[in-house]
Amino acid sequence: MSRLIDQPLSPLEQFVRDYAEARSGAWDQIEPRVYDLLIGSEITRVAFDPEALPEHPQAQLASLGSPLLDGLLADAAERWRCARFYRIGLNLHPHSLDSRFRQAISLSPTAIANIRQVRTMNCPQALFWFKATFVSDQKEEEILLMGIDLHSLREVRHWDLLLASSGLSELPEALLPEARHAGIIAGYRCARDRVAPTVAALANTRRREWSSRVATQIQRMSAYYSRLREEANEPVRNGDDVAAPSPIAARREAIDREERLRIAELRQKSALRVQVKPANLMIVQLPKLLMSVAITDKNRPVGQLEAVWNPLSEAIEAPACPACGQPTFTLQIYRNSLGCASCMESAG
Amino acid sequence: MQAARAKILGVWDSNWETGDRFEVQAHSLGAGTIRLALPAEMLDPATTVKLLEDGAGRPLLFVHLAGENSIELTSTPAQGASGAEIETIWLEYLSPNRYRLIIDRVPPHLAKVLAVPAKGAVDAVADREIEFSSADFNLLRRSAPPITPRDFELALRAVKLASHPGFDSLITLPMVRDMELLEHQIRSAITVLRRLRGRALLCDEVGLGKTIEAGLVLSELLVRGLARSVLVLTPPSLITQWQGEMRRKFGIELTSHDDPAFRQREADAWKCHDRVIVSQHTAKREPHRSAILNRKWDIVIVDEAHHMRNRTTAIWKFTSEIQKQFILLLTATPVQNNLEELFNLVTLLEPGLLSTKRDFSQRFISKGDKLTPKNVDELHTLLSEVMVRNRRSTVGLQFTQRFARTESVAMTGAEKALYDAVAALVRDQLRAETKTTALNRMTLITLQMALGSSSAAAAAMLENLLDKPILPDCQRQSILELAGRASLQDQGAKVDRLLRLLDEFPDKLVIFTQFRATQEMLRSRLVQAGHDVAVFHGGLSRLGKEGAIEHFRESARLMICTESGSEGRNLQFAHGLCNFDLPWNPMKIEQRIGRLSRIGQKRDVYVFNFVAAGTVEAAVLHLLEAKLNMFELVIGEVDMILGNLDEEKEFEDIVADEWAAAANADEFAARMEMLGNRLLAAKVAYFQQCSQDEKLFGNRFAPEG
Repeated sequence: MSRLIDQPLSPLEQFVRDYAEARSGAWDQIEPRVYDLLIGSEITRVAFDPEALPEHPQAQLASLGSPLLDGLLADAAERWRCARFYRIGLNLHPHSLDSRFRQAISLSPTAIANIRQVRTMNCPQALFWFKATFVSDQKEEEILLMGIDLHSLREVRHWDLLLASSGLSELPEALLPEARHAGIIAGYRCARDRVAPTVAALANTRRREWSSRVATQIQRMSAYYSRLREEANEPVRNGDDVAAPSPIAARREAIDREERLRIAELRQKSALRVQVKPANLMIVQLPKLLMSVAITDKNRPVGQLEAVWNPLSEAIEAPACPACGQPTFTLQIYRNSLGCASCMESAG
Repeated sequence: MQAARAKILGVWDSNWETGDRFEVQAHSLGAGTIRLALPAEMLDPATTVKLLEDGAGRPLLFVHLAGENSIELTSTPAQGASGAEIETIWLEYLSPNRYRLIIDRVPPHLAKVLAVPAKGAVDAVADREIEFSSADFNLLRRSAPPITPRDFELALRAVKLASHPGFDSLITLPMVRDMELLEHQIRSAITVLRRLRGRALLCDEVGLGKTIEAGLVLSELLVRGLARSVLVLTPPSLITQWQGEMRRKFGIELTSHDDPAFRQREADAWKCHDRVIVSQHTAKREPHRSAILNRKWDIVIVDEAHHMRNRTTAIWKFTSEIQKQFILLLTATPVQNNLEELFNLVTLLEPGLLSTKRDFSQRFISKGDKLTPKNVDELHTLLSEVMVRNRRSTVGLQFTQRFARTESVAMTGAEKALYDAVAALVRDQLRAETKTTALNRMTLITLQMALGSSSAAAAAMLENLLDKPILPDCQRQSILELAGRASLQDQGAKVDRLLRLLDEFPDKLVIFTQFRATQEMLRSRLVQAGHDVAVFHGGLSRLGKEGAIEHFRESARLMICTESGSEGRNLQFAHGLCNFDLPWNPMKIEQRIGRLSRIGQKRDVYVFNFVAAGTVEAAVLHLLEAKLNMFELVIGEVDMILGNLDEEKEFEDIVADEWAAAANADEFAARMEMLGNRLLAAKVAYFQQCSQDEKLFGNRFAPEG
């Protein structure tokens, strides 16, 4: 008995327990793998072990594919699908920001950078969990995570650090303004564009595998039916039974029909459809230090940069080139303006 | 331009600067109207929002909804535009207590970024190939009521649990119980699902777990919603074992056609039950045959599929006619006499894969030797599309040995007399042309077995017979007398021998018996002798069974076990087994041994067989040891050898018939000798098959990975 109790909970069992608690309900373990669940005002007995059902005839079996469990999973997925949290517990007072800036950003030798203003602001990070579904003769699904920093519209790199559960809170540590950002819909479009190549690669891999197999199968099948037709024709060719052409014709027709049917089936199986939809969305307000940096060259003002200190990675993010907007750690001065290497090359 | 005021709740922190913006949540109410929920941080009742203009300088009208932290905006933003076109709405700080609503303005520094598509995105993806649902935007506009990180994580978990990843990974693995899955079993299941698309010939050598592999495939298909209806065709002696394995290890309940729940439904049974197990013998006969063929089955699993090597047999034709999407054929010996047998099996899976029968023979079978292939590479390439075969030599497992010892116990005079008297009754009844309902064939054979088990079991059975009102009076008296003699018998000789064995074998020991009366007698005697004994039988509750196993694992040195209820149980922590009585069917003996001697057993297994001299059991044991060398075979080989007997009858029925037909003990011995010779020939044929398979298949067809 103790061994049954000691066995680790299955993922489904753990989920159902957590779900009941999250719904402000309760669970009561009647015996190992058998529970009474209170959700809302209804008590339901569930069993995770089919061997328990004869002893608990009123219990419902909770297994993947059962209506009960499918309902709970669908409800959980829908009910808590979107969330907004604040990232807390970060160091927002890094030491010696200006020397870090100078180490991170490469400027022309004569250029001088002065940090004019540092503001701590919330930069919303939009994390999209996409569900990609690949449908042919079978259905396969992949969950893909894509995070977009709405402030810069760049991909979130350290989402594992971002999502560390001890660092997420429904309330902020401090009320901070939000940095200018593109908005969730623009962020979604970006995320979609970035996840699409991954999905396309997954789809292409599947399609290649299936197509080549199906092509071989179709070829083999055609050869098989040709052979069947040859063997069906043989009595006529050999003149064995000239009085019975119609059964042979019927047989040939049956062979032709079956061939068409099976090849059509195979072609249908090799057609692949791909659907992608956002399954979950989390917006995390991540405090960052936004720096306004004035760049001068030989005492003449050349331009202004916005640089960002990311407390998660504890590094300066690549600023956007004032000319083209692309991220870069190397900026040059040309004709009294600031730009990245490729902008300078095009200009000059 | 009209400026409107709206009373809102909110206050900003002192470090706001002019131009700071906040995205507000917008809820679309319908065309032309949206509602904005303002940030909860705005708490100062004195703060107002002055709505001045939209991003293009157009006037906007809104209504503050009294008592709510929200404002309703109409005629948004361009004339005639609907709420659905709004991208984002911002609240911009101008000065203390002054704000501005801005709509659809992308910050300039990001406009460039958005204008340039992500590298490779356009080229890699054609819009028509990847569908992004327009319903996606509804998700983005949803308000996010306060939820905790734990709630969100639960939603993520729900999405992952409910999703069906590719067959690179098996989602049911965490749910398999009571066993340690082996790498080759997982790889086989993945290969069958991913590459072979659920239509496969599983040809592992005996003892490597074909049943488990089939269970994994079945479990995955069920959980992914790719299969709902299941038909399992097996030899009759394996039905209970399959049910036990599937139930215990995978949580899959298979209903046997013999189960009361199935029989209750009568004609509708086959339509009402979606997961059925039935013997091949029964399935091919009416009325089951028509019922099975009249419905579609998502998956059909055929165990011991070598019974379908011949396409002229009823069972082959029947199986080929079943409407099915997935099919698994399990056999360790797909070829026996002729390579055409392979063609016949493969045709059940993929008709046409090996072309026509004539073509196959011409291309792949050598003239003059029907077992020697031609164009082996081409044949292997074709077979690899349907076949998986693991070999003991390549799966990297260590198999321990089995050692058997017979404990032959001499009956006392009284025991012998009782035995002969009951045997005579049974023999007479078996030979009788008409049998009474009370003394049908099964009852008689069971009574004879009970006598070989213990006097207690025989007494219990005889007393049960007396309770039957339909027992004819002429028999009642003799049965009464026999029951009386049996109940008075001393249970001594066999039990004494067992007690001596316990002194010689100091480790944990599983004692098997077929009869509850024997089990109870043994328990009582062993406890009296001071032993800690666990008891396991089918009548225990689920927790009772777990408790018994746990008791045996922990403190009890002995466990007395009936077959019933122990199917699928893993007792590998013990390595000693005592057959206190012997079933007449070697498959049942092997199944007992298989509870201990299977993959994962780390120690050699010792089997002690108790028989009373001069009984049917002694004759069966002699045959199994002397002719078959059964206890030194690898687990699963007995089944293969019996399969070569080509008998439709169960082995115990064969033995019962021989015994009933024999006039005396000598004739019975002679008959058993002939049966033994047939077994020996079957064994030789089996080993020949094994070496043929090795020549034919080699080490190819191992699963991927």
